[in-house]
Amino acid sequence: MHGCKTIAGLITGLVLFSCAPPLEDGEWGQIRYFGEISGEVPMRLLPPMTDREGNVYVAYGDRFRSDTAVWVGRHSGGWKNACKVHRGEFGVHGFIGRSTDEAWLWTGDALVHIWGNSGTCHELLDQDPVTGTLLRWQGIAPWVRDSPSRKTTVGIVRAAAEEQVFVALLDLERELMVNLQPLQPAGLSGLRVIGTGADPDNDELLFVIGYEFEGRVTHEALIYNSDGEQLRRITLDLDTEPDAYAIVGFFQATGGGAWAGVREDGGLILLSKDAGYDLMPEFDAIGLLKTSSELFVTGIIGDKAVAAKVANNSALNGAQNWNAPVRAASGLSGSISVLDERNSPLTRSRWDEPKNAIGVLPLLTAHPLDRYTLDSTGWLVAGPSYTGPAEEITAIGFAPLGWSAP
Amino acid sequence: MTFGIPLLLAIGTPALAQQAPEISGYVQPSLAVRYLPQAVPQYRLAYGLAESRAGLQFQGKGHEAWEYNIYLFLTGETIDVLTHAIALDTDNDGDAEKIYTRSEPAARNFLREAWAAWMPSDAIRVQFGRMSVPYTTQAQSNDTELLFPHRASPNAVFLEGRDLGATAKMEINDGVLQAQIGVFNGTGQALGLGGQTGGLYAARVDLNPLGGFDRSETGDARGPFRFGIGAGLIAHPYTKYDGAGYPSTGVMDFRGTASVRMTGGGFHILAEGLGRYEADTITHRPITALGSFGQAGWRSLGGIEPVFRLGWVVEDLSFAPRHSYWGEGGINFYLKNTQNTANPARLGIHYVGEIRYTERETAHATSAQALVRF
Repeated sequence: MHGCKTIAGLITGLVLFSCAPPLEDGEWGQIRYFGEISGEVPMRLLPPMTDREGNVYVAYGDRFRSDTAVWVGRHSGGWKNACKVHRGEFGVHGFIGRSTDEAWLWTGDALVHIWGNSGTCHELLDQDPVTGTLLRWQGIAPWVRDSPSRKTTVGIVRAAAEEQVFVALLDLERELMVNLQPLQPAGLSGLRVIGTGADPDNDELLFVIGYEFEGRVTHEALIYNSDGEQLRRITLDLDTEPDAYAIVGFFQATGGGAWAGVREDGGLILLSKDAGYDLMPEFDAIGLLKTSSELFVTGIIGDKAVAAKVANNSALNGAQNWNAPVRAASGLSGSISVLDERNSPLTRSRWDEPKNAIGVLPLLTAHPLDRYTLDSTGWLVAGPSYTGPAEEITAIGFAPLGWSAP
Repeated sequence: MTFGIPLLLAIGTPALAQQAPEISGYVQPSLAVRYLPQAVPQYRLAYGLAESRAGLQFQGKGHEAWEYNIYLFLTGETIDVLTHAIALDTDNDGDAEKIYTRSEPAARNFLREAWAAWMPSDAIRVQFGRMSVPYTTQAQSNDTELLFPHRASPNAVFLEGRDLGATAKMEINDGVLQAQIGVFNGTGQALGLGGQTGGLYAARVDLNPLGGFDRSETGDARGPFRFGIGAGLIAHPYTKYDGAGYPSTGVMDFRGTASVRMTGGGFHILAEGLGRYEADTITHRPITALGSFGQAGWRSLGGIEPVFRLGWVVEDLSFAPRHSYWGEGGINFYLKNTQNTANPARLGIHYVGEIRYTERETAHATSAQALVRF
């Protein structure tokens, strides 16, 4: 009997080996139904993240809510119940990195470690290890430098009861802050972190801040390397006064020296190597799309998805049609088979007329798209819903989604 | 699937040719220095004799058609074993925020090989027990007959260690053609494949046009010229289980290798290419990797042997490729010894540099070793 199973496994594997082509542009992979979540589409969910082992991390939350929760789907199947960690007034910022079997989320003032194998979460560096002072992580760069000898990122931190702000190298493995430096100029007040970003290819981490100093309001972009050393400081010329965390998701880089961030009102903040400005594009800007060599601002005109390339001098090119989001949305029509992983053993079921769960259209997001494979990302699909005690409860599934550049 | 050695030893007619086992082995003290420039200061520089190791081998004939081999591997390297885990409530809110752990070093000594071989004819050999998987050619070389103190790093990425299983080997025309097939438990691999069931099936073919030759990577300077090409394949279908113990994922793990090797006049050259493709029924995300290495050494009549090796691996090729490169060089000195001409003592000094290109990290290590065989 065991031999028969082995042979069946071998044949299944052989079939998989020969019949698993990469996902096409806008094509969905296996939908993995993992939970029923409060809300209706578009859901309060971030685009998922995966680690190197293939564990999936799904964050529930909103920029202005404090009920952040994280689900973890194991690479070998089955999901772990949501763990809830949040601290601070602002809501969830986004995933800041991943490693072999773990990921990190920045939510409010808290930096959260999520372990993929167990689905457990815990807050890192909530207190100064020496003084016990409560720490507020006001800015964290969305990249964990992951190598055999280190797992680090850079953050802006202040003690809850103090005004002075520091830039620190965060050792995420040892849960320590090192190379603590006061944020200059000394004596600044009213610090607002407008957004953060990372360009791993060039080893650059970005913090866009606003502050008051000697009676003047200043907006600056601070660029550090992954050792926490400041590389550049760029003064920005902004027409619109941005609030704290005005950038949705994170800034993303062209790789050639320019950066772009999307505000909630559809406006943009664009940076070059020595200048920065804000801009209201001719379309409704919603997100960013980073390919291997280019950066696009994405959005919609009418019912079509568009993308405008950001040049390395930070100029925004004209918008062009981008078919992948619309194609993906239309791929969700009809009755679709889903793998129900809520309980063990896993079973098959069907969803009628599932919908895109995040944002206006699939792939339109200001958070960096996770590289699930070289030509697909992870996304969330909404299934049937019912009326709960406070609001709708909606079935949610994870699925890989193929895409190609505009 | 578990193969029991005692049961297999009992198969066959009563032993007639039983004799005392031949005992051999080696001691290899090694002084190593490792430098990691990007690490935190505590781990930047490490040195010591931790890589020293020794092996003890018992082999003989239990029957005219049966051989046996037991190889014990002892090393100074240790692994940290968790001995205490205590939950800490750092802010007295009733929840455990941190876990305090305490570990103790434990020796990594183990049974590296234990097998029995049945030889129904000169050309056929069937082997059962714990042994190397017939996949790469380097994995089948004896630990004491390597060009460098360790096997090539790319080899270790794709397959390392030994496994429990059975192999059948056939030789045609004095080893001009060698074919091996095997079936193994599939859990003896160094790629973290735990908590699964499914057999590992391996096959390897070697063509040696001028006649068979052993897999030693070094040898006599007056040895005859031989060359060979070979290829190996592993198919490992297995099932993963969820936390409740129910099957959740079917996986097929394929690995392939091709090799070219040459020896003669003191030269020993080996090049291998390696590949891996693993797909499963849930994720639609194959695990793919490629790698290769090439090594060469020349042993002079005076017993001096300069050696070189280059290697490359790209892991996670399908989603986030990580490139690593290795460069190695060194010199072996073989001491003339009238007491043991077949296994002369060897002194060696070697350097290995590793560049983890994608991860922006480098490592450098040198070691000086003495290899004394008996």
